[in-house]
Amino acid sequence: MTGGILALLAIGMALQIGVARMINFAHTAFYMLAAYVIYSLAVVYGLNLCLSAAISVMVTLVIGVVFYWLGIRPIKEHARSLLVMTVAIALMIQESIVLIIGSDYVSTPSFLPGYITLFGVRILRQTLLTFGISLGILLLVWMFITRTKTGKTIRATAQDAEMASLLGVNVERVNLTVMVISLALAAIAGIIIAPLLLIDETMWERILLSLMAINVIGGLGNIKGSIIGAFILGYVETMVVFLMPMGAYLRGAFAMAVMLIVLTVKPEGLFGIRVE
Amino acid sequence: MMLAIIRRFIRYFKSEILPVPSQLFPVLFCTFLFFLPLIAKNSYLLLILSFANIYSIFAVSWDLLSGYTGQFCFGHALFFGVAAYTCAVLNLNFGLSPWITIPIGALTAVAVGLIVGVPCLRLRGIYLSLATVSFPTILLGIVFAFPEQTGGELGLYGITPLSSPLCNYYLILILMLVSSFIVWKIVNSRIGIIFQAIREGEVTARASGINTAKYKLLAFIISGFFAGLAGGVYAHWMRTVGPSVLTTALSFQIITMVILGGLATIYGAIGGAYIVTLLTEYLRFTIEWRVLLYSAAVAVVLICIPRGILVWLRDRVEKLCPKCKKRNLFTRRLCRSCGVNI
Amino acid sequence: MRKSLSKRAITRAQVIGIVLIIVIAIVAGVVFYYFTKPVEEKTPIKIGIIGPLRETEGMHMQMGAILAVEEINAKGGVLGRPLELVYEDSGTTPMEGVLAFEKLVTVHKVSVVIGEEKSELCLAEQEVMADHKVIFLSVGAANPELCARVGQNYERYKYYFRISPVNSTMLGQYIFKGLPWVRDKIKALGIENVKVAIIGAQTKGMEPIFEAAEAIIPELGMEHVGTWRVSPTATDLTSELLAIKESGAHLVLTMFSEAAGVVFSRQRGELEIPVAVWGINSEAQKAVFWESTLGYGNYECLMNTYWREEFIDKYMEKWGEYPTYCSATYEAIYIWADSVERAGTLDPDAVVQEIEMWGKRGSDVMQKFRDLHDGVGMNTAPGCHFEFTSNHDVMCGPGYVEPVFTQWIDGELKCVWPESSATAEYQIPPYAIDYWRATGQIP
Repeated sequence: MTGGILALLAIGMALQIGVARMINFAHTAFYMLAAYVIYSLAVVYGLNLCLSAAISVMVTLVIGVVFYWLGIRPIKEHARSLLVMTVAIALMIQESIVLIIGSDYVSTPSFLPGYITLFGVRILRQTLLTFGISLGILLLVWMFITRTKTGKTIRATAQDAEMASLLGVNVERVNLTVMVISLALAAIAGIIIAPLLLIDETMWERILLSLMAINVIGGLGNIKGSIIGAFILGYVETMVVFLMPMGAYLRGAFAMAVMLIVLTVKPEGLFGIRVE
Repeated sequence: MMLAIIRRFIRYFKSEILPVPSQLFPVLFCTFLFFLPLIAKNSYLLLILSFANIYSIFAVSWDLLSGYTGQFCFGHALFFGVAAYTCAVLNLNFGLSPWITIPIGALTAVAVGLIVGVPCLRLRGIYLSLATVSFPTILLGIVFAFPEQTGGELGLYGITPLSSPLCNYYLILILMLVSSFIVWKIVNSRIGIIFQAIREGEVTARASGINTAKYKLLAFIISGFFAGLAGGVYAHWMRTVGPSVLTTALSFQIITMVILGGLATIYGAIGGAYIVTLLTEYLRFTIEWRVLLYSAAVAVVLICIPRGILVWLRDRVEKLCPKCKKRNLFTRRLCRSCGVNI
Repeated sequence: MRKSLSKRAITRAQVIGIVLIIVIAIVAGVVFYYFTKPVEEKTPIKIGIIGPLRETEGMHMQMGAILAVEEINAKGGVLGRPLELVYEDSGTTPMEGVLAFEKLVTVHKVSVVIGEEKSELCLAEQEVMADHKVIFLSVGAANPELCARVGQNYERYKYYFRISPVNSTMLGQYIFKGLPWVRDKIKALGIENVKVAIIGAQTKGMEPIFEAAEAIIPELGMEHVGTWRVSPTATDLTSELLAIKESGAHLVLTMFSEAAGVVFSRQRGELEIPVAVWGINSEAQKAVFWESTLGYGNYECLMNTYWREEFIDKYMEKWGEYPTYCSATYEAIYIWADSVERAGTLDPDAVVQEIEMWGKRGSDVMQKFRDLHDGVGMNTAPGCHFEFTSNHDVMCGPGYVEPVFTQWIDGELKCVWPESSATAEYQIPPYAIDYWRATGQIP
């Protein structure tokens, strides 16, 4: 299950790295924002859950685009400042959430409450729903990137932005499209995982390093790679905790160690092309 | 004989330092820092400034590696943490005095720098950065895996201090000035030019016959040494060392400081360290808005002044003479040394 | 701007400019100096509260403190002067903590510092405390080594006292004190061989407790069916919960001090895992636990700080929440205030001696600020009193401060053990009883 969510987030990051050539440390902050918004609407204001989900995605998109337009676009060329900028954006989102909602843990109700018994094993209905939706969205994104014209444009820009613009592609528009897609994926990931998680204001930090590791393993900027990397790392991390119960808190260090090994042995990851 | 030296010094002062704000200001600033404890017997103020100084050494070391040599290190806390823990362990288990543990800590950081630098030689750009970010986290895992030796989550405590709080302040201040001076000399020397050449284009540098691998390792070593100094001083200043010295947050803190102040400039790194430290302390008056205001301030500065506050300030206050390349005050019409219209 | 054709190194305009800048710099420096200058001694006595004030723990510290200060000021204050609270956020790193502590002592000139929930920061702040010789009453940090330092170097660290909670070693022992009682509750239903599963977060502090638990369970005549160690930040425990169900456990011993505990509770309830619950689950102490688990956390039983009914009611009325271990700033202020009154001075050494005598003076001695006997406080059960060990730690045991076990029952947190302090019956989840009946384990 976590693999699916990580995959959704990883695709978003991979798109941004590949096309916009930027590492967005605020990516997971939007995922957290979506979870908090759906909590606010559904629990605090008591709106219908599906409606809250839809509004949450739209709100996250809007806020994300605003941050992109005001904060990221102006300093695109200064790659170093961009890094610090994205961290600053993530902190701002975190702090605003603490100011408005507070720093306690919150939970949202499940879209499908209760559990079913499958082959003698109890599974939460929400787990199946989340898994199903994440697979569905992954499939949609995959088909979009590979089959549609916009998808082809995105891939072209990722390969060589200069060449693409010479061939008449509006690179700026493509960047914006990629931004919107990533934000939408992050927001959807946030709302479908919200009922299964404890939402707190530091949740964006915890998975950020894992996400970086996933992107490296799959190949920076590579969509297929990031999906597969997400499932691999999700599985391996669970295995580590299971096999080495003494070292349950070493999970973060383990992901980093894997990433380091990949970087030293085969930096382009499983599917990536060496980018200079 | 003495009189001649003094006269030469005064002449140098009047011609090179006084008219140029970017030279005058550091002199005034240092004088201010030296005389401050005499005017203000405020240990809180001294504490803030001491932290700013420790961060300055740390930031300058990062700037050397990342700003000048272009090896963007996202896990600089590694050197800091390794040195801090080494000093703590040496001091607590063997009773060594700080004067011995701090250099050993710095050298340990250098050794770690070598271990870390070698695999990083092959990596460029974002790959290098991601590799460096993994090291402190891995080390943190090791720290938690051996709680007996490293104190685990609580950390090590009871480390002996350098000396009295007032002496500490001066010691750290002098260390900061000396370190910055040394690094400044390095980056203004031939080695520094090679570092910058590597940053601008490694392939080109190699084509010119420079052994880029050797110089990149050298950058890691020097940078690791000074970061280790900062870490060792921290250990003896705080008298406790915990897992917080190896967090990614610490690495990002100094990246923010240097980028805010001005990348690839020594004064930018020091200035950035001071600005960030003072700003976060100043913002104590509001507990809820503190981090929000801080990150908003950083964001605004980055959008408006992406090259760094101190660099921007310097460009506002000084003009470069096109002929003799000397810096002049912005109000001047003629260059102070060659008379050319600027 | 005057046109200057002169080639001199430094023109008159520049001299004026430089002098102007120096003057401005001096003025700015003086202003900054006054900004950080220690505040003049005014009439109120200042109490500094330090801690992670943005988080719930910090908020409970503030809530407890405000309650105490209001009550004491209503009775005339300490040494005839009103009390005033000053807050500084110590954040998450020792550097911030040390700066906060230093600011409280140097700039705000507080007479006592209370708080600091995180042990790592507490360590560093103890140094500042010792340098400035300020009394530091610790609320929230449970690591036993903090008090061990007092024993190692008494003269330097004697200003440190722990008010709450009971240190983590003691907390570990208390899980097992009530275990026989729970075992008998389950046996009373008709189960002969009680099976126990252990699940908890892997942290350094918890490891000895894991080992002790595995040893004690067989001694109590129960069967240990498995230990599950998870990450403190685990977000999905369904596989562990299902494995616990498969193992046939009747009782789950929980050892959670972080968020994973809430995840455990919620998923346990959602999946209706048929187990009774007992153990440590720090996050479940908070009032938001019920909402965070959407009610699925029902029947979660966890160790908690004992608070008297009247304090719980007072706290609920003012703040709308249950008090937690961080609310003991209330007790800290009372202990300190009374000790200052007895010493007759704010001098730290004299006050330290009075604080050390807390609870040792005998039951007839009255306090100035409340009608309770010396040493008796809101976090001691009737008949017990609060006392410090020689290491300035909280004395824990029968007759002193003892942790209790509370259980979430239908939206309310009730004390269930020991029976002398209990306000409700211990509940075993009905779906667990149904399951045991359906599988023939009980008639």
